[in-house]
Amino acid sequence: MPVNSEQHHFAHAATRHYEDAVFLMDAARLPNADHHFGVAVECALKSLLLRFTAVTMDPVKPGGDRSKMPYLRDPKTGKPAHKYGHLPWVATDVALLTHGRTASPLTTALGGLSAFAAWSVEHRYLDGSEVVEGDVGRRRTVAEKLIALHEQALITGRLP
Amino acid sequence: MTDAPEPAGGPVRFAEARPRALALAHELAAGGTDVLAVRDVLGRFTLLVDDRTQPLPPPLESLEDDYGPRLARDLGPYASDRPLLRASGLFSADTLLGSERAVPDPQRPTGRVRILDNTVVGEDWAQVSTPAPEADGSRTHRTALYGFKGGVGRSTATAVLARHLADQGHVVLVVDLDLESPGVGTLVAAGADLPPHGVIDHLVESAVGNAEGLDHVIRSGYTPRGGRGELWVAPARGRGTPGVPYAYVDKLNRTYADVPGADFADRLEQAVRACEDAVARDGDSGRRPDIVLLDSRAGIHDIAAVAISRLCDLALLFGTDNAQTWEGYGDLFAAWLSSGQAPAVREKLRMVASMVPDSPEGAYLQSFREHAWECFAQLYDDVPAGSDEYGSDAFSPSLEDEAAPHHPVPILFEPGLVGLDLVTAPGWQDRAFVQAAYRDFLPTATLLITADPQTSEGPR
Repeated sequence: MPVNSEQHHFAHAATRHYEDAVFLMDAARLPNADHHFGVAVECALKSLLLRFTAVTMDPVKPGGDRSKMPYLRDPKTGKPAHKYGHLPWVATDVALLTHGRTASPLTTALGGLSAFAAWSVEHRYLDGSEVVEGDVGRRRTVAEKLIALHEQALITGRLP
Repeated sequence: MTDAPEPAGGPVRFAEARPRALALAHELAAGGTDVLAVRDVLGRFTLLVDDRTQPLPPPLESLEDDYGPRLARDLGPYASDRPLLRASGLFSADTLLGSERAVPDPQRPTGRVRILDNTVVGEDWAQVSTPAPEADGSRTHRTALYGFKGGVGRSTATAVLARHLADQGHVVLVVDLDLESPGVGTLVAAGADLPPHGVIDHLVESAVGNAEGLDHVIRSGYTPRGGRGELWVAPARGRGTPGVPYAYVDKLNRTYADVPGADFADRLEQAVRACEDAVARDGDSGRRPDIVLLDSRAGIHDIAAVAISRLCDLALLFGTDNAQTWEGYGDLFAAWLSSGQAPAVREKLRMVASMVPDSPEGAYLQSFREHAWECFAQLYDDVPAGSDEYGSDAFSPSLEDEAAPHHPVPILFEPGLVGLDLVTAPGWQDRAFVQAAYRDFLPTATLLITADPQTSEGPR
């Protein structure tokens, strides 16, 4: 895997954001901890999608720049059928990962993503008063599981 | 010491990577640490050094610099992105290091190197166990009938053997696990209507918690002699429900799924057990089957892996004496050896020489036995030169040992068998040529099947 590939960057960014989030949460700095847990999950999912599915960041048009976000190409039109931006993602956004023998256990693992249903990357511009410890704790648990799953997938070459 | 070929000029190929990775792993271990060599689904290695409870000893303090470049060079494309990792820096270290699938390096089982192999399919070949006795201490004898190549008379032998065992007073259940090409169900049913459901339905329905009430075993149309025995069959495919397409292929395409809490092997085991329970539930006598014959599918395939490695206490390996047969079994045995399963599996195996032709002075069988022995030698222990072969605990039967796994149980080739329609021909098992063909097979197989596994009378 080339060191400069997008999945390489997503993988490392996922761990970095997760570790910073834990650092902030342990210091009771909840709003930014919450932000980084979300970004960590996003990066880990994008890394998994790029490694294990048809999702790509190749130029949308021949000769163009590489895509800024991962996307799935529509096999008929060749255009992006779905782009993977910021969380929250709905279940069908990650359905691509769930295929083959391990589909069912993975779906269960990804079920925790509902904890991010009310999360938004835009919250980083807000005053943070809405952020409560219970929500961040739940997101931390989900992020921790996903980061571990992602790490294991990188070592074993497959989804658990 | 693991033999590691020197990196040659050309690209590193798949099979070269393992000995090289293990050689390096042992070198690290010699520095004073436990090492887990993880091989990913594409064959790439990561060496995971266990520093969870104490820091690495001085010789390994800068292992990334000392060993990283060598690992990348020696393994080429078979080194992972990050081929050398410290457990303390990982989120998933406990999961990986605690994996039940991790086995000691079979070449140096007392060393500090373990291997965790990740494959796409076929992992169950490397998980050998023998079914435990029932809670009441009774034991259901489960025998897998397997052929590396198809078309060797395995299903016919299953049907003949099932009738023979039922005639002896046993409650016999035949389970058709040849899901990709079902057949033994109809053969054993002997004219009785197949049940509406089959083994395939149990696999599909149980995945959604809906297996209750399935009707997937029937009593064979064959009436065993002596009045005490019973013959039952669980077909792979049932007869279906009128007006509803059976959708066999749609079901088959889903059977290999892992579901939360149960991988495919667990699910297949539950399906077989459900068939056994159904015999006690549906039969007048209420008896559970004491003998279960699993008609496995041919080839190196997941169903065969589960049937032989986990579900049975005896596996009858069918074959004819030709190069493909021995190459196939050789590959299979090599996999058992490299995953450290040789001692667990060898004592439940027994070769069956099928379709044995007439040959002067039994030359065919003799050649079969020699080839089988060469093949099985992989699974047998080495007896060091000069030591007393009989005094040691080593499992190393000689070529002539008639109770050894490699010693073939013969089924003779009878031309009449080729054209025989086992479903419609009444009393076929009494015909002289059938009796002749199975003359040795039936009593020997019966003895092996009904012996207690893993004892001196067990299947060896």
